[in-house]
Amino acid sequence: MIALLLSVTEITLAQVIVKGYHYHPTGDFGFVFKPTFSAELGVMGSFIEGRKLRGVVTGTYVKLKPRLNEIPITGVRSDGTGDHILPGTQSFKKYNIAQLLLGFDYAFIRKEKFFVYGGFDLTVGRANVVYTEYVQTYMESSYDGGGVLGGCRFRLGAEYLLNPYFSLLINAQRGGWLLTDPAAINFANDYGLGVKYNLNL
Amino acid sequence: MKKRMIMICTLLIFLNSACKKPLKDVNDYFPVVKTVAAIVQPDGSVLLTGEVESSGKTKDAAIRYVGFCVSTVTEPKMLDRQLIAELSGTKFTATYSGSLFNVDSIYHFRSWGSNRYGYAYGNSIALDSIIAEPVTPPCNLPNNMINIGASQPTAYYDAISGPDTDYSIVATSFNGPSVTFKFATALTTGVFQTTTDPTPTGKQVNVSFYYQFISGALNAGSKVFVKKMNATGFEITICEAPWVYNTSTLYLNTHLITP
Repeated sequence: MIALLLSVTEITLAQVIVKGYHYHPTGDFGFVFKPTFSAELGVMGSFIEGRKLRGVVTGTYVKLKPRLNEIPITGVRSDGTGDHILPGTQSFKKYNIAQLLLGFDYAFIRKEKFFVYGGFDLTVGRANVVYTEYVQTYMESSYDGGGVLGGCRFRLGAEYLLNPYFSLLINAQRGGWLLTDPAAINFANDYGLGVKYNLNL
Repeated sequence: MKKRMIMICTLLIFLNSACKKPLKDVNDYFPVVKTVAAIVQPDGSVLLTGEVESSGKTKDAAIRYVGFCVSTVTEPKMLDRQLIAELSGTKFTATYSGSLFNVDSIYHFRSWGSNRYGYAYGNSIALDSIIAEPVTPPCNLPNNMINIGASQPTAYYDAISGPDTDYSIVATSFNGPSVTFKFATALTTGVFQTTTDPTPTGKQVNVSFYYQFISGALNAGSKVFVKKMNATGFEITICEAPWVYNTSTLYLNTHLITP
């Protein structure tokens, strides 16, 4: 709620940010998908004028590619002769994520031109997923759909004011989100470099 | 300042924790198994030994299943005559029955293992001329003869059928006894043992017969010598095997070759 209020307030003082980042899926998500590059666009407030807290609203889109074209999976079938371990494959054709992030940054260190801050975002979005699954003699299925996602993201970052118009930003972030369909809990880190442009001058 | 440092450190720890950081080589998620040995046993079966070199390089990558497969192609797949083995430490073993093998073919044995991420194969070991050690019965009888003992005359089989899908062989003679051999499993070269149980198990065989008004079955514990001749043909010999008729113990001798 605080973040929302800050964000709405700060939009009037908006400063546009463009950030490129390297996205690293972790855990099981990182087993399946390769790290990739993407960009984040948005608006954010400023730490100048004595403020320690600023709102941030951004949006991003990540297109993930699988590490293996076919992941070797197994299934188990039991019958009168016992268990049978059945070989198969799972193949992701598409895993695209669109996210809207709403949050705030808190400056731990605040100098005239340099700030170090921690941040937190809430995220909502959608994932579009296409995959096929095949287990020999047992099943063959395909999925083409997606679901709503929701989660949060933490961040550690630094900002340096180049001049009254431009700042450089560097961020390390860790996020997790829950996807409704196909059901999954995914985690990822990202490391980004951005530019902020002050529209209000 | 101290408060700031604590907050920064907390965030750094969270960001760096990256629980279950992905492995650089995706193949490291899967098990690494090795087919250590494939040894032909005296009865023609093949004893396989495998070893798990790695269950996968993540902490949660425990082995779920291990086993073997065999085929005449160089890289058999998991479902080719699949055998699931029990893991004992890092080793696992399993035995393929000799009845699966044709002496003229080359067979490739391969181990496999699975964990929560998937599965992987081990190396293949090729074996040719898989054959049991010779089985030599203690008696030398003419082909396709049957004698159930006492004063009954020696006869010769006129028709032999089987082994059937239930592993039974029926040998019939018009002027002598007809004999049914009921094995528990597919026939292979080796020595089987008679049982009075009509549903034998393991290397047991139930041998029953009838001739005119006489019928009977061999006592438990006699040896039945089986030699695999080719893909479908077997030579079976029984020497002086006791059976009880009324209160008398009689001795059966037979020797037959299935078509």
